[in-house]
Amino acid sequence: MATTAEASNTTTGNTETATGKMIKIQSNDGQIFEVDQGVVEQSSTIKTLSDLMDVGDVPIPLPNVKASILGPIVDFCNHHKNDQKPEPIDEDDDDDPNKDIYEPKRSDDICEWDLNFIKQFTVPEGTLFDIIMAANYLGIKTLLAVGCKTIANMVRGKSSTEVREMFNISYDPPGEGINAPNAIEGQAGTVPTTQDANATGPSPQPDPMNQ
Amino acid sequence: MSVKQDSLFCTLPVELIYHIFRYLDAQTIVRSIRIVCKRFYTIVNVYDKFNFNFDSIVKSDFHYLCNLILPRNVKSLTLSNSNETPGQIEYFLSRFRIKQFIQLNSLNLFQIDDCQLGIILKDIQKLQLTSLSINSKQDYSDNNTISDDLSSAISLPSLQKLTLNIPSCDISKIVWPIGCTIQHLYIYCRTIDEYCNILYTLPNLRTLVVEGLNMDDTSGIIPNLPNLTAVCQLFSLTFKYCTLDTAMLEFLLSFTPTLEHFHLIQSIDLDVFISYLPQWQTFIETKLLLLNKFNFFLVRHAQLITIPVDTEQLMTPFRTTFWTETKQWFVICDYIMSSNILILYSSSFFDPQFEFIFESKQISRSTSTSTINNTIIMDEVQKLRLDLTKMMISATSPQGGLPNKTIFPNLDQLTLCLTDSWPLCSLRALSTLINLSHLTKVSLEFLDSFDYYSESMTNIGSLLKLAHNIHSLTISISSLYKSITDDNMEICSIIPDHNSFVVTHAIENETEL
Repeated sequence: MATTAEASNTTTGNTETATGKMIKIQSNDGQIFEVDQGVVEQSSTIKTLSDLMDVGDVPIPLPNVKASILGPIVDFCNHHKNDQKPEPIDEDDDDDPNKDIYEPKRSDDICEWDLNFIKQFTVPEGTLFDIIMAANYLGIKTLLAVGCKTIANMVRGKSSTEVREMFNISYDPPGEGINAPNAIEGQAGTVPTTQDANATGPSPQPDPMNQ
Repeated sequence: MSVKQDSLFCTLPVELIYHIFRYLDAQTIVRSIRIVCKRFYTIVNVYDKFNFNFDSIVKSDFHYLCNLILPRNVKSLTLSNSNETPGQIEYFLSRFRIKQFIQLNSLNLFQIDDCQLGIILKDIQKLQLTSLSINSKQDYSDNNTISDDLSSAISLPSLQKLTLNIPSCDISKIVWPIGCTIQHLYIYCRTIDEYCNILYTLPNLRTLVVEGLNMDDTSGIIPNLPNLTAVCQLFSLTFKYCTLDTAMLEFLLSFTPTLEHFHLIQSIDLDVFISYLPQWQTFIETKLLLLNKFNFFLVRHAQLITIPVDTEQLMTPFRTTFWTETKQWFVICDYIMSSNILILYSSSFFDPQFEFIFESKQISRSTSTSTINNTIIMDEVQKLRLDLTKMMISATSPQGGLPNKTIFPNLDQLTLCLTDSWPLCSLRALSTLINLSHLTKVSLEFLDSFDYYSESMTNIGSLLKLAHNIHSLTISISSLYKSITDDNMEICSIIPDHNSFVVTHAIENETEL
């Protein structure tokens, strides 16, 4: 049986008049959330569905998101609905000529509110990945970026063993011989041989860095 | 081994794994993620948006990554022959040809010599580069063939962004193609006619950064280029380390009436600029009607005769309605008293290459606040020099004291000078003053005694633990020569496990041996 939860508005307390018509969305476990246009605009999935379907008072079903994840997502969107400029997260959006579009994007710029928000989701419970999956499904780019940055910050500079421990990943050797982890990690600093069968570069020369 | 239930990390859709990769460096992806499990191994091997940035990389990591690079999967490549990575480009070229990197979009070269540049320029003719950055080494020798190769490179139809930072290159020999597609250009350009020629021949140019333009280094003949003003559609212009006077500034800007952003970095005398401000306002109001962002960074260096500086008087012209309300261009003035250095700059704008000298006796004023204070947070400062000995003496003096909050949150490079033993409690003071976790390079200068260096190992180790993102440590010892082999071993032993370092020792005054 569906229950209704009114979406909390953590920033402005907007009314229907200020934000346009309200739309209902329904989690896969039947909970209904009422959201305004400011929230809808941040989710390409909800926006598309609400544009395509003249939903009226019928809730839009979101079969891939459970209420325990959808609730915080609505909070997130409510908090960010008055943000002036969405962060450019697509390569095409980034027009800073001083920036190499292929250089790793910054991940140390998560604002304090978002940091506290994402802390409620954890690896052991799997909810950190639930929120990333849900953000991807709902097309909420800002939330997807926060989730991916959080994972990136966790693994940056860590060894493969530490990553396995951090994410509870079973030992699953990716290869034998030269591809075995121990063999690969042991190669650092040794005289390399190219693995690219199509490599046509000149023969290896004495290492000038050792001279 | 017990069977564990894997976390959802391993089962995330591949597009989400790739999304996470966009926030990670190639080292982490290849060294760690790749060998976590079979699925990641496969995913990393087919990931085709690699950015290999070999600037400041440890040699063993560089060799390791060279071993595993699949050229066709690389989108961006940065090679550097800096002091920290000598011989890197030569080694790379002995392993690969740039033309193998068929998907390469961005290529950045630092401290390159003419020979290696010639090889690379010949190789990029068939690539789809959108961005090319060339920064030559100091003793780069210009030769005529490079101009031809450069001309070919810049005619790549895909090229949108170009950096040509080659001071010794005669850019007048470069032939810019008709209908050149370049939109963003950073160029070392010495003469006025070269500058005008660039504006005339690059009609698609939106952003231009000019370094080294010297109004005295010219024939005095202004090129007669028809309809230059009409041709030029520049949106953003920066003069960096140029030598200009106000008349020349107005003359150059008269070609670019469409400017919306203009930046002036150490290109005009500070005092001349201040006395010119009323005319500058008029010029903007009549000639640069679209200008909505104007940033400047000007420095008056220490002079032989110390002239008292009235910072309030200096700031008065910037407190008019035009500056603070109409344009909302706020200005900061920092006066470092003991060094007698005056810096005048736009708020939220700082020359990233300028090494700021921190001293406790400093006056800062801003037009966005009405009070004098010593604790303006300097977000934009990236390079800082600090005399640790003096700072701690000052901090403990009756008139002294240090700020009790972080003043330099985004510092990248820190140089610490020591003329005595490592001061007590200085690490605590440093970690308050500076966001140490943001640092990537640290230089330590032991100015008077080798012994101070030897005695400082524990403190250096503690500093490295606090500044855990450092990848380059340089130690300079200005004293009579003494072997540092043993200490070299010791410094390696105190480097935290979690980090990789390039450690450079520099010993000055070796001739006094």
